Amino acid sequence: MIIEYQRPESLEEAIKLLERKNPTSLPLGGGTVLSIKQKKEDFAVVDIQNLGLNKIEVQDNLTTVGAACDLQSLIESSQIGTSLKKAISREININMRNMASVGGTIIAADGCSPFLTALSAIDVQLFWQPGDVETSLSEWLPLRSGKKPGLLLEKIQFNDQVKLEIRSLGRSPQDYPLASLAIAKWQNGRMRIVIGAIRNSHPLLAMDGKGTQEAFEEAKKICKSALEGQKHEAYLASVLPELVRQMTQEL
Amino acid sequence: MDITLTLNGKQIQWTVSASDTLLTILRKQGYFSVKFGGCENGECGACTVLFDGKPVNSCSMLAAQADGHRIETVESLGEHPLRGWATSKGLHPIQQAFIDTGAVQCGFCTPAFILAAKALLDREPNPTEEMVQEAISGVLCRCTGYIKPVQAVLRAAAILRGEQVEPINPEGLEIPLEWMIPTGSTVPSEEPCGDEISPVQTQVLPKIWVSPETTPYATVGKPEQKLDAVKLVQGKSAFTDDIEQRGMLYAKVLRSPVAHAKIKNIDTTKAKALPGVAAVLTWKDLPRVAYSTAGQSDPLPGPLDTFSLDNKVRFVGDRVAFVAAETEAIAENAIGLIDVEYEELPILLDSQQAMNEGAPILHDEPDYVNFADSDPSHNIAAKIRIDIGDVEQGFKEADKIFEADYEVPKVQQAHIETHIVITCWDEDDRMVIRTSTQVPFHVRRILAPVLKLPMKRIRVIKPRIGGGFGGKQEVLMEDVAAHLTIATGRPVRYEYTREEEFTSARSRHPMKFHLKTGVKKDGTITANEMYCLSDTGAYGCHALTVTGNTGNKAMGIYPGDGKYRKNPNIRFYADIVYTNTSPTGAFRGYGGPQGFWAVERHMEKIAHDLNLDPLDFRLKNSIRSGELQPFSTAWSEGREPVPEIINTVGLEECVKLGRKETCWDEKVDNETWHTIPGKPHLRRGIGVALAMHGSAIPYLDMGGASIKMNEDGSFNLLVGATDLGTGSDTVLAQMAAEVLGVKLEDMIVYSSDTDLTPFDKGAYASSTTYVSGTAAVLAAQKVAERVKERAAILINKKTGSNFKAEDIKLADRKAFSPDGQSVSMSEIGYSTIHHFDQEQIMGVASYVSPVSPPPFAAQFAEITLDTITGEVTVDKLLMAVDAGVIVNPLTASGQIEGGMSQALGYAVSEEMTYARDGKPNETNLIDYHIFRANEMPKLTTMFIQTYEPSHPFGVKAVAEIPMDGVAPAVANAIYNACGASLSQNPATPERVWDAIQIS
Repeated sequence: MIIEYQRPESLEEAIKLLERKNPTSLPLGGGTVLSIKQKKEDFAVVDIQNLGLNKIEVQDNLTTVGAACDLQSLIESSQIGTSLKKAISREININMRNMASVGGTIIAADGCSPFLTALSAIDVQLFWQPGDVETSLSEWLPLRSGKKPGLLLEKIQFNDQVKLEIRSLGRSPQDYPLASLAIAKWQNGRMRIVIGAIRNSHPLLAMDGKGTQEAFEEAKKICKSALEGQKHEAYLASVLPELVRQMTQEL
Repeated sequence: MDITLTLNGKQIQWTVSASDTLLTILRKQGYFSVKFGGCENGECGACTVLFDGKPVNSCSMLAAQADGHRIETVESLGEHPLRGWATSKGLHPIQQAFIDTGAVQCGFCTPAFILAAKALLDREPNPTEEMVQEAISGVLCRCTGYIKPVQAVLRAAAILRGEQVEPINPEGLEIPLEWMIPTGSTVPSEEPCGDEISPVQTQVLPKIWVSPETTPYATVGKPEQKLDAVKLVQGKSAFTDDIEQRGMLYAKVLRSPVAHAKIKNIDTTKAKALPGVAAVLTWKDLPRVAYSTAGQSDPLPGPLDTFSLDNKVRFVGDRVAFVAAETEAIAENAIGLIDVEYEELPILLDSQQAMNEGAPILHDEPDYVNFADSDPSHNIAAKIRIDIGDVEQGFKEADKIFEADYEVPKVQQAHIETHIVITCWDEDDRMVIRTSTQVPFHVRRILAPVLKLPMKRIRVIKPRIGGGFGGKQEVLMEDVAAHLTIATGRPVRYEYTREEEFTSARSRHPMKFHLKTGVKKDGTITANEMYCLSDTGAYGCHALTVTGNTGNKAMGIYPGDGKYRKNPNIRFYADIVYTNTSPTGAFRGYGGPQGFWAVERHMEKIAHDLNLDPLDFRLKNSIRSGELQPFSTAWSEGREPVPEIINTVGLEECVKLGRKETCWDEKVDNETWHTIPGKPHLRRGIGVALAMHGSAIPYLDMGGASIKMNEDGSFNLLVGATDLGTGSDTVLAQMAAEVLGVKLEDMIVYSSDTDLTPFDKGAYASSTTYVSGTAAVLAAQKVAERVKERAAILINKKTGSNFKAEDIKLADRKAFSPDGQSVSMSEIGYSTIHHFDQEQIMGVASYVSPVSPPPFAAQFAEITLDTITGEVTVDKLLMAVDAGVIVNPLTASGQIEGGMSQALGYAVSEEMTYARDGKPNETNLIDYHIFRANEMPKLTTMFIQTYEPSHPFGVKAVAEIPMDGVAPAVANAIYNACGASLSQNPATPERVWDAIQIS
């Protein structure tokens, strides 16, 4: 259980607290994924609400979002594109979006997460402290369960000129998706396709290249290999490539 | 640690621990408006508070996070307008709008809605409907279907902007005249055919086709405000958990991790040694009493196959041990310290394997008590064999035989308030059970032998219920707390988590069907046969009766045409079998939704095959006024059946009006309508299903009421009936007030307490308005007789007249003599209680119905289908309902809207499944998806009144019928859209996609 609550006023202070081994200290964003009851061991939380990490800044086509920024603020921001907002609104309900932080969601969201799938498609960069370590989200995701590049995810950054299309498959318009699919297209023709279809894993990068022709085949290939033995295998392996074809045409 | 926050405008300092959630602290401090829905992922939103003006879930937030912030709960808004000598600020406009629009049903989530609405209106005074839907979408509601809460917020917004809004009250807005169409006339041609948006003020009221036999009443038939709404919009401490008992212990139950096993050994030493643990109970500690948890009248129509604790577990989530401790956390830790050695047994998950030779046997205990045809040696909990007419001859007379298989899944009631009970010994050493139950009297009767207490030593109090839907027609967990109170002598609180609701509560029976129907070329059904294999899970609660109802309702609606109307040929065989899954039980609809899925899909397919209009084909074969309910000759919930003639059938009018309102004929075969320009992968479809339900269980279930007159002319109405949020307290009071000639506000309703209120079977079987309502009317008539006697004496004294009681009429809070003289109710009250020949005017009455007049409905659905993904978006649901005379259009339409919303989940998203080891796959309200406000289709309710002569005000039931038709109507709409034919619900994208591939 949580045995200690800290609310540092500076990043340095936060890092010092997080460096402690006794008690084990974890960053606290919104708290929504802090499944208190499942944590049998004692640990401390370091609340990052006073660190000024809740800003959304745009400069030179680069959008920077602090890790403590709540998801609803992204939806309400005029600096965030419609497709990303759509992904966020499908991620979690409004009450939880008022609490859930960008950082916490990146750390904890599952493999079908529309937000994570969308971020991965637009090739979001993560910045970790201490050390100002920069990693690509999609490169880090497969390593997510291991040691993190830093003690605290400070912010994320992405190119806001990228066109994004997101689709989530569900039983109803607001159902948590059984699969999410995001396609991002850069002005230079670069295209990234990310498929979020395995709940206990992470969204998978299906293609990072050029050309809509290859998109369908690449999506088909990754669906075939990654979904083998998974829930809804036959269905998703057929439907997702078709959606890729449809979405790339729309892009 | 100390935290300082601004709570409802006042600075507060509290000492909290680092692990305390904001919810825990707020409730500990008495802010009971903040509810807990048992979830761990913030799915339900019942715990909403405003955090710096934004709605957040206080269950998912640490109290420490609130340090330095501004928190608002609904306690900060308004208050009751009458505060004695103190000035009241009155209710907040949002609270008042929730009352006015009928947006409050069970009220458990109402404070959360109101706060979410406040947050929206504080920043956006003129929101669109879509903005409101989004703003309140963090709060799940299982009662309302969200229409009325959305309208409430729009209305409040208008009021807060200073605009005039039309009143929605009995004196103000009447049912719009254009909707009052005499029976027999056609729908006016100028009736809009499409999507015109009505003004806010009228969207909360249904369209009503008024029966010409209906007398205009003073309060019956009016959209009266719910009597309990004022307390619920304030978040008053009305629910089971909203009390604090000194010295209360917290209970937890160790649940089985395996689906089928003998408990070889159980060691509680470590758990008992944990500081703060007051008791640990295992099967060794408790008397072994076989009982059934089904909350039904005596004798229970089912096997006695359950024990409080047993040395065998039969499903993942079955009970293993009980713990009571000083805190929930200690109880939880103690659970983890109990060592259990299981001897695992082969498991049975597939109902189709249950009766096979060599199948694992769930109930091999010698003290199992059979009921009728239950046969535990073959895993049979119950068996039904009903033959009406000569089915084989009927098949011979058919031109074509249609056979098909259908299947429905297990689904959960998902009431937002989970099961909760608090028990204690009172000062007389009687066991007091405060519980969120639909059946307080059955709880008392069923638990007495289990607890080894005489029934008179038990008192059951039912406070406000946060939704039930059949899930609380079960004596599910009261025994846990009661056993622990007996063991410790202390009050014990036990609350189900959301996970326990999925693993260890009851649910709707999954069923597999085979249907065989003989039809002549002209569409006449000559014989209809259904075989149903029903899965009761590990225990047989409601096994017989739910499945009996499946045939009774779904097969009873279509006797056939011509000579078959008098002599229908119907066969209904069912086996209800045990499996190693969580037990099933009562869920709103009680077998109907399952049966109508199969029958209405089947009818659709037959109509298409014979190239007949699906509506005409159904009406040709459906039951009509004056005909025998075929099943009444063969079925009656474990009692002797009594043939019953159906007096009122408004089905034809339901179809006619629904057909018109949905523009059925312009859509059903119109390729242009089916397609969406520029989106070749999308197809529109329209579908229909008919439904018939019942009003109470005839010759069996009794309702009771007592009424006492006070000197100010008010009346206490005490009922054993249990208002689950349906508005039954209000509806019963409306009927009593009508008889007594007083205003609804003069009725003070209390329900229910086994010590104080008359017996009532409880809230189930669509019986409250019909059976308990009749009891209330009969009690009111007894009181009215005495009131008239006293009035005649008073008037005669005053005027020297010689009027008799039978000359007196009661109206407008007065008693009138034929010459217009009157005395007020208050004068009568004071004179009888204080002034002369004193007496307490009281009336007690009870009622058992000899009939169960069915409500009828035509359910329409419109959908858009994505042919690439199989995703179905339900765009519109319209239900045209014949529920007799509508006592309260606000509450009745709330029932239809809420019911359709639940049924919508059954249609497209709700399903409980199991892994190969018997572990449930869905244990939260994310994986198990119930609809949110921002994804609802347009819902329309139309009441087509008939006047049911067996009820004093002509009413029939309304609560369960909306569950029956939505799923098949949606599936039929899918069929209409693209020819994909589903045999199994829900219509998930994968299932629909599969069907598209086949089609």
